[in-house]
Amino acid sequence: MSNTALLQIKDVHVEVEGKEVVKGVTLDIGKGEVHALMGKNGSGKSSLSNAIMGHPSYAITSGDVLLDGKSILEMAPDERSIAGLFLAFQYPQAVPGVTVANFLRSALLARRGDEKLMRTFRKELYAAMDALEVDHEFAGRYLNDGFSGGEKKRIEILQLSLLQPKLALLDETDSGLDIDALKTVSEGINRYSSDENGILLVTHYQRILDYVKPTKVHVMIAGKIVKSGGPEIALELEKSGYETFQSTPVTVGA
Amino acid sequence: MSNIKIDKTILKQVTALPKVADNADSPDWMTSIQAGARERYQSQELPDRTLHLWRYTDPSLFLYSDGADAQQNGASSKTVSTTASTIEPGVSPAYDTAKEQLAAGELAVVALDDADGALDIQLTPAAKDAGLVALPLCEAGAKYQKIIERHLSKAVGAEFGKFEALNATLWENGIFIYAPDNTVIAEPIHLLRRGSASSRWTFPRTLIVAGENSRLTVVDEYYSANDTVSDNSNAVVEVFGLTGSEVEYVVLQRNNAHTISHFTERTTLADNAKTTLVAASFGGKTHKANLGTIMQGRHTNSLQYGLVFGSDKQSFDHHTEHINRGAHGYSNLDFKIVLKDKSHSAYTGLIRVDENIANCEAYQSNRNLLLNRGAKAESIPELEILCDEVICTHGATVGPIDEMQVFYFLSRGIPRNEAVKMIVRGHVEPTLKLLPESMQPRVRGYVDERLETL
Repeated sequence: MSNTALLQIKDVHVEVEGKEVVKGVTLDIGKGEVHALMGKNGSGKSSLSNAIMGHPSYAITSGDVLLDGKSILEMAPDERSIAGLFLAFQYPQAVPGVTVANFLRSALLARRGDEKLMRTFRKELYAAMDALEVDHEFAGRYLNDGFSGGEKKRIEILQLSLLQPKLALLDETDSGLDIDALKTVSEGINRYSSDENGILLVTHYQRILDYVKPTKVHVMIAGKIVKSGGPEIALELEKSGYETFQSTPVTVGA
Repeated sequence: MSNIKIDKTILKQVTALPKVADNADSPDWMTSIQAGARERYQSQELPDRTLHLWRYTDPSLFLYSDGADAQQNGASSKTVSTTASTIEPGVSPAYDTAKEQLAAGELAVVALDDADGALDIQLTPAAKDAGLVALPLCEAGAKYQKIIERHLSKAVGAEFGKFEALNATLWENGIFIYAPDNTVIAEPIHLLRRGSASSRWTFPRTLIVAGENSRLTVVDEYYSANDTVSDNSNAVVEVFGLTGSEVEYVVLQRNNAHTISHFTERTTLADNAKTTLVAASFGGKTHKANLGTIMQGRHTNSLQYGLVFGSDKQSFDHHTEHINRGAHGYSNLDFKIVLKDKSHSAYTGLIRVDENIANCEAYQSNRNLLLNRGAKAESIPELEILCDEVICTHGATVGPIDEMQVFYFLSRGIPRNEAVKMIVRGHVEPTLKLLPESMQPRVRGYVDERLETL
């Protein structure tokens, strides 16, 4: 790992409607690393992901977040995206009237900035859809409108594979997936994962970690990371539950 | 009540009105209907503003003026200019674009109504061969007396309301579209109505009869004479879908920013008839439209879609009705409204199911998107269900663009301005897709024009 991690989360505090939900998280994710952030509902995992992406309801009240050594806190969400951040949503928005293809085309155009570079778009799109076993018919469907939970998650990973961000925040991408879909989506994540990018995988369960192997695992309880370590922590969680970590002294960072 | 005073002025004007403007072809029986309508008009007071359909728009805006005495005529005087007397070519880009499409063969059967000129109806050979009848209403009155007598003023007659009575008295350049039994007219029939450049009120009237088991699409477009003159209009459209017929009726309103318009449409469906109505309103200073389907027969199907995009200080007032009078009827309505600047919209939507009507389904949805704080929308769904065997839902939303949707776009690198445009386009796209393919790019262009200055 280089001296500067790809994503540096430095003592970040997050508030939602005046209530502090993330209470000082520090985490570094280097290139080629997959970090799993595990915790119960309401532990602050999704709040942290949303705040990093710049969600207007999640305010970072103190601390800093750096991508490639540069603070992103003053950037608008679209600037963060162009800079290389990506958030796969737990509950992706439905946008009736906007097709999947149109949405993705606009996202790619925002990066490439030139219509000429969009000539191969359809080819790229269909190749990415084939890899995720997404029917081409979805290209013409309205974004997440009437999609099942599993379909929505596949479309999130389809976006990940096309946009190729530097750092992907995957917020409970495994929820709502049956075992076959979980495998397909995990394969998509693994295809994306490389020595040039990093992943923060937010999840409740160990099961996705059978397919997407984390380099590090963090346990988050009540807005704080209480334990960090290797993949064995996820197995321990699966065996004993989150209760065993409740009284563990805070171990900050990785 | 101050209305009475205004009404007296109108009474005086109506007494002097011609029977039918510039139409020597009008048969006696038709002019006698108009004479009856004139009496009806004279006997009615202006609608009371406490009546729910008139809460949002001042009825005195629709009082008739021939231009000469406009200055004494209250609200309408503000909208009337008497300067232009001829239509200058090329000054109504919207109308010209539509005409160019016709010339290029992208559109099919047409009726061109330059209000200051003669009605010009052109049928393609294919439409003629298929059996379509498209004629000036007066001329058709002699040739198709039986069918016209059976339908003219039967859905929107003089008793409908004061301004409908005014149209029934003064209509001109009327158009009769008739698909005889078992005919299928594949190409959309385009009616291009242009206002009067001499700033008088115009009274377009259209009668559409879809014969038994026939199928046709009519696109009815309304334009101002040019972009500067306020050429106000009071239009009435009656559509009759006979047994087993399928009619698609599209009305596109693209008046200029000075124009005041009043529009009433009713479709009546016989057994097993189907209709799709698409109403797209973009233009005008004040536009009041009353659209409805009377589901008279059994097993009827009526779909109504609306699309309104207001800007500046435009005022829109749309009312829709689905009246279920036959068993096993299905109706669905989806009315979408986008407002920016200080524009205003009122939408009222009625579903009525009469007594002892079995197995009806009726759905209604009105969604209003406000693009800035100055824009205002009101939505009033109304249900009058007088029987038990009904599945009925209605819903209305009024609000700004969903910031969560915007955030989703931003998170993919799409800038806010583009995100908002895409979401608005998405809001109206499902309705645009219902338009005949040949006119979709043009109407998308109207939406984009409005989005340019966001």
